[in-house]
Amino acid sequence: MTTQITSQRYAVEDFHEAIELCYQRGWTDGLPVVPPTEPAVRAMLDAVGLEPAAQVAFITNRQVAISAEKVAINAVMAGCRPEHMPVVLAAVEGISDPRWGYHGPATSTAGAGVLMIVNGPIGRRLDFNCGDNLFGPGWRSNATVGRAVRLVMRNVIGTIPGRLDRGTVGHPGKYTYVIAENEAESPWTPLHAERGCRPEDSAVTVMAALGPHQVYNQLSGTAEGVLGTMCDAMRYPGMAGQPNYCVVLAGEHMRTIAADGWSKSDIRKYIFEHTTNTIAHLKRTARLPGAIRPEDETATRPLVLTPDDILVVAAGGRAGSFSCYIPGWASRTSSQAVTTVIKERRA
Amino acid sequence: MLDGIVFEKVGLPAASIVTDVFEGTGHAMAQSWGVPEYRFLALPHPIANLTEADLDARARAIAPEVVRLLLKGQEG
Amino acid sequence: MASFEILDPTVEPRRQPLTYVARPDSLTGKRVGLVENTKYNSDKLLQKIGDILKQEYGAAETRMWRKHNSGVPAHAEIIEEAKRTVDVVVAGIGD
Repeated sequence: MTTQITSQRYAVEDFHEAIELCYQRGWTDGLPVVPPTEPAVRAMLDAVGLEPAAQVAFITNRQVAISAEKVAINAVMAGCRPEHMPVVLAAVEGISDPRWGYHGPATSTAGAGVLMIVNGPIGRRLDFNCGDNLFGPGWRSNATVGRAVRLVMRNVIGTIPGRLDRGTVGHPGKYTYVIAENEAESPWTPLHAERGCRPEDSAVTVMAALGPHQVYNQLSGTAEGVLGTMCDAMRYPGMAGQPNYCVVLAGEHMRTIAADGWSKSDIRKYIFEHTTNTIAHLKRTARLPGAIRPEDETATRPLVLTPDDILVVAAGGRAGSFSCYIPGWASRTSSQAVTTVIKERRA
Repeated sequence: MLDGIVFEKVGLPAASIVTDVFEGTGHAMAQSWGVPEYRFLALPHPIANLTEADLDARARAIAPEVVRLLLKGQEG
Repeated sequence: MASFEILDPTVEPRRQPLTYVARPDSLTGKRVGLVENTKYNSDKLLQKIGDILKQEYGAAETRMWRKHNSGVPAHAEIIEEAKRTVDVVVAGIGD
């Protein structure tokens, strides 16, 4: 390591004082953080071969440069181990991509979180949960990697509630919102391979996202039956525009749909065609402005701009007749999902 | 709010207007861009659900401040 | 336990002072650019402000641009056109 750690240092007497100091200085998400000592931070940087001063990303709309040192500090605080750093770095690069458009999703009153979908061998190697209790607690990788990204957003980019995070109600995914795709049991092409990665690569897809909406269907034995219910639930837009959507199909539903021979492309096409709304309905329910004209009763608007805007992920428990859909933020033209290959070493 | 800064940087006098609940956010953006003292205007929130008459009233109330900011600028 | 040090996870923004161009003495004869942020009623409200600047403060004309979306600054085409065609800019407004 040839360059110095330059972050300001704070002396503390003990572990408890360190935790309290982090709270007092406003560095946490409300949960206690792991005190970031220099040896822990250096271990993060060594794991990926990055100098502290290396620039990981630049947020143009905020004029903020994100250094490897700052990512490492926040990753330690989140509870990551050094082997998590490549995933954290890839996600930070993803949200810094102009296509993700940082300022909108991170600041908006719509209160989007950063849904992170992990694909590839790193999912199994680091035990990212892709099954039971998918969005719930219990897995270090899911909990800490998402949290590290949020702490970078807070501490480095200034995304602080009331200041540059104006989510009106927000949602719990703003603590962490990380899942892996169940590639071992899925009959379909993994998400990252659909989006241009090699299947043997590991990747993380970031999507500005509202909370997950659960959909129940225990009675259907066909793809159309299951997805019909999904479409009935998800057709009512959570935003004014047409954003990305993510549809997470858990074990039972995944197997039912696959048994009918449907691909992810079939799923997307069906959902696209069965989630339109009439303009009249959108105006009646104040999702669109303006007086209702006669032609509005038959004019329709699809939920998303194209079927490809629907990300389909096979994940969730084997038992249970529940899947979910996750609305994205604003419109895909304002922020779109970004997939970034995870690089184990940067040097 | 940022647009005001962007236009000043290219040499156009500008006045940014936000709604009042976003004043703190505007100041935080200005700080992020390295000009924490940047002045902008705020009018009452919200505007999305206002009538034509309400919008007229809001425009009337803020117009003198817009003029003042355009003519006196950040140092006035 | 012996005392130890922890590292600051935050970044202080750098100061980047702006040099502001000279202000006009008045709006008489000036062309006013209006840059609306795509939010409901932003365009209407900005136009009403622009109309007052014409009717009561002598501005010559107004010209409206709509941004690509509210989360980004005015895009390059707007900036280039504004530099060529207006003297001052009013930007905003809603959520």
